[in-house]
Amino acid sequence: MITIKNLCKTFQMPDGNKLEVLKDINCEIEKGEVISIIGPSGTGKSTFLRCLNAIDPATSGEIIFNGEDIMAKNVKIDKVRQKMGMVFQNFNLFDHMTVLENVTFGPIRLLGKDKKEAEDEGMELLHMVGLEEKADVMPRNLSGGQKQRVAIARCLSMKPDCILFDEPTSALDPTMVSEVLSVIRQLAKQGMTMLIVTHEMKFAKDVSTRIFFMYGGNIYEEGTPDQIFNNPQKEVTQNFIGRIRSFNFTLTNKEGAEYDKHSNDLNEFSMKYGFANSYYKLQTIIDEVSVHMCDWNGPIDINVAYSELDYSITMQFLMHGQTTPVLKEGDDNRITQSIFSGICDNVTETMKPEGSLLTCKISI
Amino acid sequence: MLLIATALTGCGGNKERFVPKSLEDLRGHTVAANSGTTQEKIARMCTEKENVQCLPGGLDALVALDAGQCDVALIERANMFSDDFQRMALEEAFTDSTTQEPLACAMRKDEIALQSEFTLFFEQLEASGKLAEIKSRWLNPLLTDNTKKVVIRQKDVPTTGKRILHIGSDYSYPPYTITVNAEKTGYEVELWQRFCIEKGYGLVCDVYTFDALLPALQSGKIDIIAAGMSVTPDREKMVLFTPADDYSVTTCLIRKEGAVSNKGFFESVKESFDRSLVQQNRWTMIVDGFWTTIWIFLGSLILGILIGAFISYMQMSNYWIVRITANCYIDLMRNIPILVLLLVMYYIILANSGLSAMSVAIIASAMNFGAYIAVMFTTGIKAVDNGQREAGLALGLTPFKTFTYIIAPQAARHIIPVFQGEAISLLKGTSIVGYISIVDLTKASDLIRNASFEAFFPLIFVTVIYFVLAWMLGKSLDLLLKKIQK
Repeated sequence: MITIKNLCKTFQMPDGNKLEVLKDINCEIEKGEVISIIGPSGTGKSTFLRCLNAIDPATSGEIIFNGEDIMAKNVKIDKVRQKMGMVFQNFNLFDHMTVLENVTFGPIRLLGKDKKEAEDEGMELLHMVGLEEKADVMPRNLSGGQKQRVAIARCLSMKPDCILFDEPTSALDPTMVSEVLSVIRQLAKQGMTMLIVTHEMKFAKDVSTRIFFMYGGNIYEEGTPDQIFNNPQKEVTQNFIGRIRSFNFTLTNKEGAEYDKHSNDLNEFSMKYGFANSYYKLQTIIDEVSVHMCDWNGPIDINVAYSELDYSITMQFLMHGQTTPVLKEGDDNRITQSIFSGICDNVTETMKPEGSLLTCKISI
Repeated sequence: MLLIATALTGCGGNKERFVPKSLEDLRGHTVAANSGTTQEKIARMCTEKENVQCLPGGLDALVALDAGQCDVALIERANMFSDDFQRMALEEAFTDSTTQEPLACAMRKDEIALQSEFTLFFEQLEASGKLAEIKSRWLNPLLTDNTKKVVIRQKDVPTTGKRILHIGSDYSYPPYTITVNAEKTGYEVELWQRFCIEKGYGLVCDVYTFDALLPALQSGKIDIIAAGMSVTPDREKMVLFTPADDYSVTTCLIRKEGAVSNKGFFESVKESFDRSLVQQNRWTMIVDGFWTTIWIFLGSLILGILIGAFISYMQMSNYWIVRITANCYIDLMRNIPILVLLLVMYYIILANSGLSAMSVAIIASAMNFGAYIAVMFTTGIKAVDNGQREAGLALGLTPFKTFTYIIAPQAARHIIPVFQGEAISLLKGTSIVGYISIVDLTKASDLIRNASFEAFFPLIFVTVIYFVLAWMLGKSLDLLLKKIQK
């Protein structure tokens, strides 16, 4: 459906220098494919998408869409865009129109449908994204997630052959991400051809037929989700996929003052990676281990690791000099057991030469 | 009501009544005179500089005296030969004929042919005794009813012919030049009317303030000044004069003793109203002025929006040279007073364009208004998030349709509240067009005030009209704004 050959994009910087953002991209996209484009920031993912529908025209190369080179001079690019929808990070709903007007504007103005027909279809689309009752509301009165669902409905109102999603959930509160992703999942099931630039790794893994890993202005590695996420071939991909964000510190005594010094950093770490809501869980576990469980024969090394792939936090406590397991059966430890089972998915303890290693996995 | 009472009684004050006997007595007293006249010169000679009140239009000196703003007024004796003067509570203190200057009409230096043609005509008129008859009507101290002096109506005089003579005056200096029944007439005007009828010339009357007459003559806007102008050596260096047949005689006026009307309050209000608006159909001047103001406003509004849209388009150009040009235009227009711009356009830039004064006024107002509109448009459009444009394009709209359906309606919400204020300013700003011979609302009230010596009703009437117009304009834009801000 889309064939891209030697696509390049260079930006002219205000200081006169040229910035090469896309370097010779080649790829083929078949009808019905769902392609997630992942990769570090600043590698041209969004630019690539914006070149496809010429919102940012490419510098050179060919984009053949439905058998037509859309970079040719005589092409009516507005007609092409009617068949290639786009969903933006910042929604970009038409602020001066109601929700229903947003989804009927294109069909009435561009497809020449009469108002009644367009409204019937519009209501169906709103029903599909679960926002029928918001038809007469102005966009400013919607939540971010609702706005993005309307934006998807608006895009669908033009009955496009494919849809480009430019980081559709990046501007959303974490609580609203799933409602938008579930609409996109629904479209994937219906066989819509889609290109999705996203940072939601788990979603990309679940929904895509193929993954493009972009790096340095090029498609660095591509493959099925299984290939890219479980068996990446190239080093940069491996580092990116396997990347785990971790935070280390050591406690040398039982006094709370020492932990207080690290707690701010830990809080910042949790906010940075979006699991501030789970911060209290980490604190509870650390408190439980350091105050109630450890015998304090030596310092405790604590490692908190966050994985983007499955949104899990792994906490490891290496208790130096601890010779007896801290996890014990029996009535004395009932409180400890209930705390651990309430917070953690999984707790294991292994005895090492230097002491006991306690590992807890928490999902957020 | 308090306002009306104050206006009608004047602010006479409690000072002892000052009755001068000769020019020497005037020293130390405030003296009003009309600018550019022999009387101004006399006033400057016989009292201190700071005591001279030099008033620009017609017979404003009389109005100033009546309103108690000065002790005496010096006027041309012939100015008094009118009913309107007779009704005022003013009287003659003395008449001085020591400084006599001839009064005549002026022409450009290069109009020697016209001058000799008129001189010949004038001599024939004198020889046939016709001139004496004309003078017996206009320069007769006993005949004060202005309507009885007019024998040639404006409609009897052709406006086209072998040559069209533009006769400039403030038409407020009786009996030489005056407005009667909303028509331009007077002693000097009648002479030229007769001249044009006989010679087959067209005659057009243009209204200028006295100060503006010489510049208008020099720049070719008018061909003749007929304003009871005194012939002075300075002026003779610049212009040609018609044969002088009348001489300036200065009369000193003071307020009458106990100058409070013995008529009832309502009666005097009614009389004042009658004189300023009803008599001689003076209200028709207000109506004509009203439409003139409306046309200038609408014309410059529409033209200004077009200019503004174009300049705004230039401001958003990709080429820096175009952007700079647009910004220079805006800077230039914003930093020139609109009145100065109007005069520059009228007397210099469009002086020889053949455009009517109305067109020049519309163009000048629109140029100024356009600069403000451009800034408004540009900021309004830039205030719309770029994402809106991208979303429109991505949906498959052409750039033009994106602008029309997506950007413009949203920009309008930013623009209309500012536009409202600017449109009202534009409407009010049209009141300066009187400077270039257009009789708009403001100028109409000037003419009525000068003809009737009544300041109150013409000014209040015009004030109310401006207020209602501006208020309605503001309200209608409010409604428009509410409609698009659902």
